[in-house]
Amino acid sequence: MRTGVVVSGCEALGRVAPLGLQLGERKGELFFDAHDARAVRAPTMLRRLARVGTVTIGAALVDGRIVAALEVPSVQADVVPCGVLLADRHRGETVLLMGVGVVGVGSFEAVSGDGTVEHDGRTIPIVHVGKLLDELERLTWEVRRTTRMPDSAGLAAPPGPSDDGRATS
Amino acid sequence: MSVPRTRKRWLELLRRTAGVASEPRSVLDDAALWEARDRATRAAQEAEKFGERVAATAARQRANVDAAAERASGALARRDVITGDVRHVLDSLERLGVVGLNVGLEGARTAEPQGRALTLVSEELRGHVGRGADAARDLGGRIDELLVVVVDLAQRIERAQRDAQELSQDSSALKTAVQESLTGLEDLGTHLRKATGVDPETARFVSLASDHAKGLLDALTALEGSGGMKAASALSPVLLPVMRLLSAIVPDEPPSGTSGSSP
Repeated sequence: MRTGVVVSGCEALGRVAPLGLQLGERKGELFFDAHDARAVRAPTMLRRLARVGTVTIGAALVDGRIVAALEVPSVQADVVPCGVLLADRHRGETVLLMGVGVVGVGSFEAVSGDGTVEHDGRTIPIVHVGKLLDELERLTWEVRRTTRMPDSAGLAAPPGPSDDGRATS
Repeated sequence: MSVPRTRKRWLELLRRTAGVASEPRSVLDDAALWEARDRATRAAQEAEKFGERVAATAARQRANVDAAAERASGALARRDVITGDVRHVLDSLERLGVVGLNVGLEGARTAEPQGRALTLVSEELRGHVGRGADAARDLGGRIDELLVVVVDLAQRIERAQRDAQELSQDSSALKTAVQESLTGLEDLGTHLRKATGVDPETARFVSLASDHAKGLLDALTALEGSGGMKAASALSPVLLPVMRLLSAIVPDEPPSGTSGSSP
């Protein structure tokens, strides 16, 4: 058994090749371990900085701390936009995954040796946050190298207004 | 003077009295003119009365329509408030749902049996929140539908308001027209008095007398035709004063086809 959270709507993450994520059979579902998925939070502010494909990279203010934010296009219009706060226990880094929907929380049957869990008869791949952060870091460096821009603005142009702050809590 | 002869004479007088109407220009024509003018005046007065009632009803209707328009406008003005309230309810429910998710995550991290209890609480909480949010969205949708109806009603009321205003103006115009016609009829009366030399009271009596004379003549002619003239002698006490009056009113005419015979 694995305890954690199953999220949906991560198709955009699957389309970003360097991340190398294998998505679930339906709805772009992914599983995060309960010790990696720390909480579901509504950020006080979200600033979008760059975009890779349809995934937006930015910074969010959560519980008074600034954390990295990864936003995928959301299919549902939430009144309170929330994200799953993911933490890498070993590196002490956190990232807020925005735009995903939480499908289930609790204990899930692990498929032995497969790196997947079962939820409602579907097989959901387990994602390691450390690996996700590694891939994200490599991606940002790659974008920076190809665009030959020395600073953080060297990423692809941010979507819409760059200063897209919004108070949600 | 024998009875048959007397009878023939007053019948002749009566015929001549009733036959006045067939003359080309007579007092009876004047009387008919006056009567027509009186009828027109009465009709115009009735029209004026009904016009006033229509104007009063139109004013009441307009006041009601104005009040309805104000209420509809008030309901529309509250649209944003209602939408905001529904949004606020949804906001609260979603935040509660987030609390449920976090309880579930905490339960997933906590060892048994406390972890299991937290997970159950989380599921229960999220179930209720989900149903509450669905109900709130349904409510919001129904309120939106109602508001669409209110918008439609407001537009219809606006049209009714314009119609009521038009009706009010038309009833005022009608009142003016009727008053104009009454003034015209008064003028007509003045000119009729000058033209005919007959006052309306006399004309009415002449018309009345003519009608009665025609009626009396018809009845007596019928009585004569049925051979019941003997029975008519019972009318003598009533008819003799009439005959005397007729003799005074209608001038004698020499009987046609006779020579030198006295009445």
